[in-house]
Amino acid sequence: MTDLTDLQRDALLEIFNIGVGNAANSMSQLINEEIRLSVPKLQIVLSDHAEVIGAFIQSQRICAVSQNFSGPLNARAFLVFPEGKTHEIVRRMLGEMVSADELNTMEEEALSEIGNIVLNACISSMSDLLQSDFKSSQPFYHLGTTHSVLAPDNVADDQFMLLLHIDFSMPKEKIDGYLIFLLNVQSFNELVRKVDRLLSESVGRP
Amino acid sequence: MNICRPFKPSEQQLKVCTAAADKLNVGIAIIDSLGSVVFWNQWLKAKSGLCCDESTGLDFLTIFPELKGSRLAQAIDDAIKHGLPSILSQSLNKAPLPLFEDAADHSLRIQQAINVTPLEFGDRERFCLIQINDVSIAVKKERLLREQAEILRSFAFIDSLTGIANRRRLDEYLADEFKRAARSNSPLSVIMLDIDYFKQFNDTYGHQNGDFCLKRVANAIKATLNRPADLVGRYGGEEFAIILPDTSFGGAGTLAEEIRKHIESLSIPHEKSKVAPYVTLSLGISNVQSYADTSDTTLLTQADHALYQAKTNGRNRVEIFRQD
Repeated sequence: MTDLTDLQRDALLEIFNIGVGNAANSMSQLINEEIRLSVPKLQIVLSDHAEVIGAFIQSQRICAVSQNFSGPLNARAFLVFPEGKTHEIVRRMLGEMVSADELNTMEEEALSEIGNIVLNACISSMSDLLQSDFKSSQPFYHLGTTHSVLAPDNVADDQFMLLLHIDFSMPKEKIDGYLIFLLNVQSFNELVRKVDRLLSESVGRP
Repeated sequence: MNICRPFKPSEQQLKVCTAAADKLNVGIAIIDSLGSVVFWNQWLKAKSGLCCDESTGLDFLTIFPELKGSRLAQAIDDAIKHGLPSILSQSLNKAPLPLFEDAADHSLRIQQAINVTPLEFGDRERFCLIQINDVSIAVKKERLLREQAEILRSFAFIDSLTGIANRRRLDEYLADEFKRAARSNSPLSVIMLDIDYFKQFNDTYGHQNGDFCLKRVANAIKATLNRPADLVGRYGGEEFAIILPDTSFGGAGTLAEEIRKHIESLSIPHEKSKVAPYVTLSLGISNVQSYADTSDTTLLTQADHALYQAKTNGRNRVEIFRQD
């Protein structure tokens, strides 16, 4: 059940690539430097498979920004970086003149905004393609172990996790980040149904 | 009581809400789905210098043309088209709106943290609420705190009496320089020195003069060092240490002798001294012979040994540590 067909997988990847592409434009504009974002890989796991997630992210401690989305399907979305990798991104966004101390105080709010840009862009692109709107919470910043950030206490066991690898390409630099969507069974099924409808509609188009 | 009955504000309630919004110490603007300003509060009008009600009903991007294609414009679009909230942090967006503390002085913009939130009323049209916080003071305070922390940190490494490095600074510097010298296998020397018969000096002239003597000696040593990497610190009491990176035994010996002579030439009276009628120093030198079997702490101990030798050999002299 957690398996997607190649077609479904490609369709989802396309939705997310359109989203992060838009986010990259916004971010490039903020810093007057070319940032490219792409989502090359997608994986679906049960949310209690912590070891799978750990292996996917390759870090025990992470820094993340989350937003809760509700609408045609409900999800908690995260933009995740391995702890320590965020420094480089924020440094690039803030410019070379910023001291290490300043960087630390600015990191949380700068990352919250970066997360907000990327997550909003992905949800916009989903909502465009699924032709329905989402509501969203404000972005929330987390720092902690993979387990404590991604598996808060009140999450039911039957949750799916959509794991997406996201490449942050900046001039002279490439940083690995992750997009993670926590969905319950109904929302996951709804997502698959929406994707299937999208696929059936596109069949026969020129 | 039915607390869920639909809320229909009276004229008076609307008036109260508007008055309250005008008194808020944050900027508020509400924009409709076509991008026109439905409401903006007094704060925003005052800080933007656009005081009149004429602007209400105008397109937000017409009022602030520089925002076209900006991150804020995108955020407003996200709120109205997709119902998504955005934050614009002060770190990444210094001052997106042309807002000024003093409407007459447009040289300095207010630093802003902005929240863009969709406002929804059932199935009807979606509005967008923009909240603007003035974070200029917070930013200034942050900078001040950072500067003060920097000063405090430097105090933690300075000897309060003499103004030169303290023992903590010496220990850390020696540890760093030792590692660096070991990596590049370059020479490293340490001089330990103290004032001869300093207890008698204090007994004779009093502690205030004792403190003054310590300050003069500290300054004189500091003045003798002319390479930025050389560091002198007060090791405790009347004892000082000098760390000399990239310096051989010979170089350290020459410098130690120079310091000894310099203090002698100050001719600070010391009638109870048994070596001279003025203040003199005894100095001990150590140098790393092999990084394999030395550590930063043994280097200090060895310099201390040499200093002890200088004391037993008659004071007012320089001795070099020799492995027996």
